[in-house]
Amino acid sequence: MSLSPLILERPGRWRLFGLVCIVIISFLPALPLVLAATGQAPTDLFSKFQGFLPLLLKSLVLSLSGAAMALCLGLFAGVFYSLYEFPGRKLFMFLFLLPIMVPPLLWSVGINNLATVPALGYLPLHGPPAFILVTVMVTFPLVTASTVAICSGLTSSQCDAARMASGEGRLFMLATRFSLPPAAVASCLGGFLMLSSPGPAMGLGIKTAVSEILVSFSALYDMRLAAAQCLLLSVSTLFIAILVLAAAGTRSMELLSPSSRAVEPVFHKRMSFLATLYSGTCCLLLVVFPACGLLIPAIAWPDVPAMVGTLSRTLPYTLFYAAGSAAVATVLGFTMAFFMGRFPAARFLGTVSLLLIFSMPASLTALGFVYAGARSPAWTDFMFRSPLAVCLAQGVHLFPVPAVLAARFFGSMPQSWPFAAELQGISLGRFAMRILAPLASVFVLTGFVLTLLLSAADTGTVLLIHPPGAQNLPLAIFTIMANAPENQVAQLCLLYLVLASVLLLLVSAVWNKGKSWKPA
Amino acid sequence: MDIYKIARACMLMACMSLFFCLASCGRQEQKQEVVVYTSVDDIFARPVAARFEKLTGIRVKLVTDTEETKSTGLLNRLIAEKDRPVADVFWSGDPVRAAILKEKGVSAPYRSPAGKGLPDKFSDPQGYWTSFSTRARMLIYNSEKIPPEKRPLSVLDLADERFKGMACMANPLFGTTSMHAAALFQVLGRQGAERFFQDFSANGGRLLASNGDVKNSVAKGTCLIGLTDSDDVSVAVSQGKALGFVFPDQNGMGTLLIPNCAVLIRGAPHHEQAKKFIDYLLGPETEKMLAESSAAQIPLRPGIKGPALFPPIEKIRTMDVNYPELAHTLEEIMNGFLKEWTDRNS
Repeated sequence: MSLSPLILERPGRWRLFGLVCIVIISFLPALPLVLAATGQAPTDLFSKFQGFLPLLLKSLVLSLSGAAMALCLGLFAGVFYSLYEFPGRKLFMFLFLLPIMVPPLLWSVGINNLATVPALGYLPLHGPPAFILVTVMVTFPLVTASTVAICSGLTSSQCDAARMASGEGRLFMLATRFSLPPAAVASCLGGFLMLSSPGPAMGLGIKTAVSEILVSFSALYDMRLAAAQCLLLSVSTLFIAILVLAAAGTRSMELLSPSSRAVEPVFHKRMSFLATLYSGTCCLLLVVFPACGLLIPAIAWPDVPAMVGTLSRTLPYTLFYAAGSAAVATVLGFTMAFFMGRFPAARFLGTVSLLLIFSMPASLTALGFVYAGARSPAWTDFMFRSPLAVCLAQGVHLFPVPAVLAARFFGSMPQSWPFAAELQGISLGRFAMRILAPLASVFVLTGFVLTLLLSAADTGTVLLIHPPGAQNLPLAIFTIMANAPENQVAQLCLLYLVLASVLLLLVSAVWNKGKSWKPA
Repeated sequence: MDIYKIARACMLMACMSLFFCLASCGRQEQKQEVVVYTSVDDIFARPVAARFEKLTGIRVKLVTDTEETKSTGLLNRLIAEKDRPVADVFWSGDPVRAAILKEKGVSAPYRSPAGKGLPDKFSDPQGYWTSFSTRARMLIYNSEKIPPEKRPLSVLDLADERFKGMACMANPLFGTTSMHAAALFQVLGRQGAERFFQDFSANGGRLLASNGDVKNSVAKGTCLIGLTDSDDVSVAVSQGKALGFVFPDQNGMGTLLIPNCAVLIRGAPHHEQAKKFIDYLLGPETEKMLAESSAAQIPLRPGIKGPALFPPIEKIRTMDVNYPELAHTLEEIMNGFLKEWTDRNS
């Protein structure tokens, strides 16, 4: 490989240094607490863990069962979407992505409401089966999206060759096998998201590891125990993530680098019919059915003043936390991707670090903020006890999402920007302004909005560190869901669903615009 | 849409976020506001706070808790923030937490002139907390599956063989159930209370996450009887749920009352506003408002019309408990029998 004249495009130890700095920044808030937790006597910890370990095992089993089911369902949905053109294809993808864009506790509210419908009494909509269903709903979009992303690494000529040699069925199976490793990684991440989210379990009335962590903090105010429990949860999830990553091999890295000649979906009578049928069934089971649980009580007994009151109180903070977290995450994500560059070793290291950060429970970072806030002087309040604290804590936890997108952006760029500019006969500055910046803005905005939606959906962090009078909408739903009338809770959930849908439409519009954009 | 416009919109959004962030991070001590932590349900506390804002122009920053960690979550937060408090007032849903705050040195004495007419027996003699409007711990039963003549009458019926595997209560480490557990230890004695809890689990009794879950489970028929608070009962009845209710032990140890308490936080950043809020809480208008709300709280002050659903306080046989003493009992059993029993049975 010829070396670029631009030093920033060359390999070197400084990349490793940059990566390490970002990883340290993301772990910094939790560090004092982790050190305090690990400083406890092992015998003391062991006695306190006696009740926690069975819960951890139960949570892992439930989350991974849901993740495995989502993997089976989402893999086929993603392959259908990538290879075939069928009626409602884009609408189905939009609906598939919706469950991950809203707090999982909303789905638990919907399922709880459906459980009270006498005609549905025979369905297992309580306890662990309901929790598994919510896990499938949350993980399914991640598996589908990653399958679509990995399938975009297939070229049209590869697909045509397989199609002519062995037929559609064989092509489908080959594409499925090709997508399996990264999809498995994505399903793991979905499972981890559920592992670190206290809302759904509490909403469905079951005790899990993360709800026990909340109890350790809130009821016993034993922050060291809570941190130690968080650490144990992180170690368990990391162990599983490493196992899956090792099994997935280097294929999972392909999520970071798209092909420039991606496969085009084609219309095939039999396969397109199957794709419509399959996607429709998945949509009905995983999106429409639970959404009915929100729709029915909300429409049956609307309480508009209550909804307007809650919305006007919480919307500014919902937007602020989400936008602030997204801004922090986007900056960190793009910086991380810059240090990863196009170099396999740095990319591998970066991917492992991102996985590690994403598998760490959000509550560990949040607890770190609470711990530091209680021990710091008053002038630090702007960092630990203000709305900014929520943005920093969520941003640090969620930056792997824009980092992956940014890595895709750097992967799709020419190996050397000065060479590319020279080839086109323009200066590097003009190349950056007219070609790189517009393309990067698509990735920046997509990363920003996706993180915005994910951070808005997180209740764990906001619950622990929001300042007085600064609730966001999901937290308002979380605090009233046990006592308020069902219609009030359901209509707030429905409202959130509508807001998330609008933002998701914006993302897809920007993404399509970016894909069709050609340099002037 | 032009891609440059999208990029500009993105930048504008980021700038606005930054501006809002900087604006919100400034010093706020001098503002006309009061920070109130409350373990009372959000849907009941918020209208009361809104009325105070309307009357005085002082903004109320309300911090409520999730159902599962109610009472204990905010209590521990207050203790942690003791040296540099954020809260001005703790509006407690029960007197036990208020007593714990006094012991930990988190609260300050304040005898509000508005507390005139409230009975002394529910409040701290030194003025560290003052009680007003009360809830009661009630037994509920599924009225479609249990005829009135077979309904439970005593808390001890939760361990009765008639309701084997079909009785429930909330996690006793939290909220009003923890206070009820401590009250049972005081009234029945250590052995009697431990036997009750052990009989309950031996009888297949279920531990649920919250009082709200108890209400829902009994209404759905998943459980037949349960122990919950009178405000949960009132909401369920107003929603037309198939629930019957009983003030337990009217021929025995009596029903446990859980009055609200107003607590002034020591070193409150908005001291004067905090006193005004406490004056407002203890006034007869607030008792009336809480009685008329869906919480259906029973006024402690004589002469104020109570909720239609429940009898006035004079007609209820109440459990004779010493609230400050309950706080000691609770601390003791939370780190001993109750924690172990809950871990074993949840």
